[in-house]
Amino acid sequence: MIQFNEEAMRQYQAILKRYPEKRPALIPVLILAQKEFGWISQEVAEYVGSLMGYPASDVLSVATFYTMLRKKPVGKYHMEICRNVSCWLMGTYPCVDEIKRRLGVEAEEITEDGKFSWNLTECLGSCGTAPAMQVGDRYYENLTPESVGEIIEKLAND
Amino acid sequence: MPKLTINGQEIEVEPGTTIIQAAQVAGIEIPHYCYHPDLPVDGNCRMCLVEVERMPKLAISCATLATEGMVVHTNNDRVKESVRGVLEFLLVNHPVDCPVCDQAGECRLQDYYMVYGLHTSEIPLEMKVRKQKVVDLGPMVVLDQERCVLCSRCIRFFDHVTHTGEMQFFGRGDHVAIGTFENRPLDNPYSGNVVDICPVGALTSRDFRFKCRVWFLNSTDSVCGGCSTGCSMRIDHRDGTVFRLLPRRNPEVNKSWLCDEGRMSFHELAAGERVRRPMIKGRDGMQAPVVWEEAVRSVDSKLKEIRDNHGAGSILGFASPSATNEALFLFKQYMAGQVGVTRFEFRADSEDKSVTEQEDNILRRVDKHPNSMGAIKLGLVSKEFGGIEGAIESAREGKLRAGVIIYFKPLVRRPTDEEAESRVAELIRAVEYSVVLAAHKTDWLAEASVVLPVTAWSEENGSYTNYQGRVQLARRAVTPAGDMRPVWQVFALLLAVSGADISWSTAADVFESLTETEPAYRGITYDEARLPGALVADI
Repeated sequence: MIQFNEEAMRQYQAILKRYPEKRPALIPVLILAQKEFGWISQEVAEYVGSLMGYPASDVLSVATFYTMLRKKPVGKYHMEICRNVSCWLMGTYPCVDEIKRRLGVEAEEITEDGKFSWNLTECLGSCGTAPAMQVGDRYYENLTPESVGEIIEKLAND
Repeated sequence: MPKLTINGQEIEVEPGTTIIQAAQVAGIEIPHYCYHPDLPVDGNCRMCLVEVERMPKLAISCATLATEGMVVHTNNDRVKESVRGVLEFLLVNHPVDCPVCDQAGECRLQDYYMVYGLHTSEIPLEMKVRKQKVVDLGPMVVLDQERCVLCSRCIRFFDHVTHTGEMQFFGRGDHVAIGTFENRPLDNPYSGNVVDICPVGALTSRDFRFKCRVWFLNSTDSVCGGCSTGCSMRIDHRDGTVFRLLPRRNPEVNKSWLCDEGRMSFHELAAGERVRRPMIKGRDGMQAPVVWEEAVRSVDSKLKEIRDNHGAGSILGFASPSATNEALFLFKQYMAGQVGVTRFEFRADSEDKSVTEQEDNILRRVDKHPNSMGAIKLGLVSKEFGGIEGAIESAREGKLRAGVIIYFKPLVRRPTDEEAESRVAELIRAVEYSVVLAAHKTDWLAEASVVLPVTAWSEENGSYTNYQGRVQLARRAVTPAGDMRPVWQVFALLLAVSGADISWSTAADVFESLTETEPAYRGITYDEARLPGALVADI
């Protein structure tokens, strides 16, 4: 049985206070849950539902609608590379090839050490500095296969 | 009240009526999947598009209110072309497995395709998005996600009618599918309704699927016999076998819903051996079959003999709250009018107290008999004698010598049934002479002096009075094998033998007599009792 720790519970209460009703807090609470538990498993959806008084089906329905709420576990560093037009033109795929070569895993797979996973994503809104990639809360811009290699090495030694 | 024109036809409707409802009043059908009269409007399927003059775009008629002077077209080329486009999109990922789909024949996709579609699919079968098939969703429902048009009727049913929220959309884009959390079974007592409201083959009935193609079924209007709510329903049957029960929409009683127990109640009726021939106990204490004539003559003379020797007070009329109004009326006519009986009872349980008591806040009621209110309104209860237990006691004291007993087992079972049934058995054992009208065989029936086989719910025409005092007609759907008669006919025979000067040839005749004789039912016509049913007078 999973559960928010004390700190997460405090944040949960703070999120609830931000909205006049409970319902709009559902997405921020799911983001919090994702931070805490890594991804939105069925167990997490059920927990959030019981916490907020919604059927588990309702919570999972919201979670499955939003791609950034993950329905699968990811590595410690989940690399999301933009595949929309600007990034694609500026060279997303050479970078993707470099990631695949270095990590040896396909999209949505996790490396054996549990450190890395990657996926293609829709526009990150960073067309001016294409190609772009998001890892956690951080953007990496103007990527080249070389810079991607450096980023992976840096993160691997983290 | 707004007046509008639909397809050149001018109609006036109540304020707040939507175009789709207005069209229905005018007899014009607008295609739709997500709109349902007893669910909140969602407007997601886009099938009900209509052209409203002076509006720039086509409007969905389920969510557009009819207003004064509106001119609506539902079947011009612009509308037809749009609906065809919507239908094509709805069918993009449809698996087209109609030959093995149980919805075939009553599928809105099939129906509308024939009217609006007739297009060739642009998507080859192997490119269609695959989803889960044959998902077990509990005792009532089987889910096929591929056939779903995502109308959300089932979701809205669980959100707004049962308030349990089991079903939801999962995913997004063309991968959206309906389902329950972790495919958990639907364990609420109204889950069967989503099968009825599903316009396609996504939700099918676990009980009914693959039993019979729907176009072979005959439908008969009836009223549920499962409890005192008396939901309007339809019996689908073929060759004397009932295949399924479906709700008939009755806004005054059950809207479009039925509970699962009521829906399955026909299995209870089919379960157990039937009494097929009239039987009379001989001197050796064994029952032997007799013809109806003989049985009826013997009952009439024996009852009158007991009355003459011990007084009418020594005879009890024990009616059943599952019998029709017609049955109860002639029962009373014979027992009170011909034999002179004044002691009546119908409660083997506490039906008079629970007749209006709700079991949940949707449909179900505690009293599992369809006509307790009828028995009350016809005065078949004499409170001063202390119910069935009082009757058993006075039989043991020798004050009560005979009983004419109608017994039907409840079609929806509860743990208290056994106790109630054992009281009836006790009563039969306690009196010297017992006449039992029964549909199903039971052990204790062997102890009755006379057993008369009768038809049960769904096997006879008749009316029931529900908890509101609403009289509703139920039609005969099937005829069981055997020499059974409707209860009203048994008493019509007894009345004839006894020398009463009126006779009845049909249940409708009896109904007419009932409404002429009984003050509570005065003035109700057969037509009024069809839908939504007529209310009895409050006396």
